[in-house]
Amino acid sequence: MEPKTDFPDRIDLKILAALRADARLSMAALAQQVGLSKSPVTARVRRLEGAGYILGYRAILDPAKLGEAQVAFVQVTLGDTTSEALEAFNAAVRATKAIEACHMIAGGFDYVLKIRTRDVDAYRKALGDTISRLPHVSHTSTFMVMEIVKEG
Amino acid sequence: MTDDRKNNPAHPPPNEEDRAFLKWLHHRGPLHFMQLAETMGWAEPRETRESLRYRLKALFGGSKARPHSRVDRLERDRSILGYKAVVDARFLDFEQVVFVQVALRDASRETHTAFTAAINALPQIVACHMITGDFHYMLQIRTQNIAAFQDFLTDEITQIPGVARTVTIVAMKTVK
Repeated sequence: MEPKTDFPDRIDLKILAALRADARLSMAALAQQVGLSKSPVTARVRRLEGAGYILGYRAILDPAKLGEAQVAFVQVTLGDTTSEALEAFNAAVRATKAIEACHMIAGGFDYVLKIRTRDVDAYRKALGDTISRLPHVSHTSTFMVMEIVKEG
Repeated sequence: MTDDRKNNPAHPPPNEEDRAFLKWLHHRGPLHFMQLAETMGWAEPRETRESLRYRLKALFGGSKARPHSRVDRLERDRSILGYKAVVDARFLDFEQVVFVQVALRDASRETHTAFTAAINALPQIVACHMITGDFHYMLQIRTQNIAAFQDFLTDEITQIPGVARTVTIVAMKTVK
């Protein structure tokens, strides 16, 4: 019988939280934050990376500077919710760059999408050319974002 | 939230090459640490990770001026806001995503300010957007499970001054 492993433990979760906030922490600074010494912290980081808890590292960019200042939420209802229809829709969503996020919803509609475009005009085009043409879409309802208060 | 960065002459907007670089960086997705370090110019050629990690504090924390480069310029003008580890959400222990649309009792500046201050202080609220429509804001919340969300809604969100109405949208599955 395998011994009960406690991975990730509370310290690992602290490490994940610290690196999510700032990937450039030195091992010394990270060690100080979580209350261990450098060697075990370095080993824990490697383990978290190897196990896929940390998928990688990236720069955090200002979307406005990317020329993608307009965000919109779209509630989408499908005309067909068989497994095949859902899979076709999901695959198309993953392949569409302008769709930043997509969640399947329990409620009066089927999905909520988060779309990022250059501006309102570009969004209108995306809605007509791309989103409404996703497989099995029967109805959409858009909420334009006027201001980004917080983005995790 | 006003943003005067665009009007600040000390920080001209990124030029076309900068924007192309930012777009390329954005679409690359999460990288191994040394790949990111090479991309951003932190690492010396063939430097080991141990050596770079050791130098990191001096590199970023010190007062020494760093060599002028595209990356430094983009950090200074806040096109690059920082760097983060991308963690698989399944392991964050906050797997349940819930969207909440919030209507405030009035649209005065004071009510908006008090609301956004409260929102920024709650780590379970991972995103907040001011939206068009019947509601003022859309929140994205992460909790351990539905029960934890219900507690959070009752104990925290409805207690924020100015909150008049909420609509809860529970995510069953994250597609992207």
